[in-house]
Amino acid sequence: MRFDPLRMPARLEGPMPGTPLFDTAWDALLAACPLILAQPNASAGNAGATSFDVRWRMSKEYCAWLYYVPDERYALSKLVESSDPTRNGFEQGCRAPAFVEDSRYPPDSLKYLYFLHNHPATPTNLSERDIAALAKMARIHGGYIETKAGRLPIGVIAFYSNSSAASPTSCDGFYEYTYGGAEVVRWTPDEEGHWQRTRAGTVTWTSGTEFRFVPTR
Amino acid sequence: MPRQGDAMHLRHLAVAGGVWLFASCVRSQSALPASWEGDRSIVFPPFYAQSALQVGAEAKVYALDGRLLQAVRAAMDDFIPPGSREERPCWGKPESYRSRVIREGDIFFILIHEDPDACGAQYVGVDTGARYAVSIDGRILRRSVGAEPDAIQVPEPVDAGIPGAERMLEPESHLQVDGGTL
Repeated sequence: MRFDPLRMPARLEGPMPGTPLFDTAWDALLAACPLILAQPNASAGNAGATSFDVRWRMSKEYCAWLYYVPDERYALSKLVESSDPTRNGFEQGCRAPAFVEDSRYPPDSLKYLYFLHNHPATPTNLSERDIAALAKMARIHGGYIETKAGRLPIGVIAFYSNSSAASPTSCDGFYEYTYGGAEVVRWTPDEEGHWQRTRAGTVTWTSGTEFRFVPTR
Repeated sequence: MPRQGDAMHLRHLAVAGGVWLFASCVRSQSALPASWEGDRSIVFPPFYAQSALQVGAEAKVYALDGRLLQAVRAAMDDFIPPGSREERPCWGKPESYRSRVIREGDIFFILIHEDPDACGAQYVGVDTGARYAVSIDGRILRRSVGAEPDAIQVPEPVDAGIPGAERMLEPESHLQVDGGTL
């Protein structure tokens, strides 16, 4: 979805067309990753590849919410692509309403677990601005939600693909940071498709809005 | 901010978006094309590896370096060109941003990022804003937007970092407070 920058709606529509309710947040994440990376210009591939610069300039970030519904399952909102050529013509990133409306449920019954987006190029990591965005999310929605799986911290996710060729299976991994955590985590599938967790950086909070982030080099 | 006498010191400072309004005496660089990226061999330092010195707290006195203000203004003027009278969303206004600044030698590295208090709770944004490298004489050397990878494809990156040097200077604060202190 795209919005008039001057008239961003209060709520983003959900669910994402064609997506079911998911039994686990993990299932929803693994479904969202290739969906987002298959969008037009969602991946410029590796920065060392030929003609990367051209693909990078055309690349776009998309974002969405992964939210928890009263049926004790997880859903994906529609995708937002928010580049604003009327302003300065070069800013990237993605802005989306802080709330979701899903006609199947009362608006205030939804709980916000992850803010999802793609990073269009590799190598990458969560950006400092992603972590700052999570701090804003926590101020809006609270840092934790109650689910059937217990109390979960809210988080921010950045999906990536090493290839610039969009395909329905494009997803080489993602970065995750959850509220209050000490680490940014990188998730990648091994050759057998099992997802492996590695540390991608350390985060230390010094106040409600100030933090230190040291990426793993 | 305190100066320590030579360019070997790196400083980390956070400045509110309104600071640039007060650096009115510096010359401005002609408008750069939207696709301009500058010298991609310049590698940005991590802006959040250290806590920032917050500039703009109420009832304190600050002495800000003119070259720092010039650099922040050059970056902000490029990010949001001044003078337009068109209606802008909240995030299209310089006062909705903070600037996190690291000086390394003769280069100011500047991260322009959204002030989480500026535009209310209506939206969440990731990877918005921009990163700049600005020379000590106010010329923009590098512009980077989004989650751009570091310049790994350059065979021998010129990292402006100076081994062993003290890092960072970040001015950050609320607009109304900064406006009153500069």
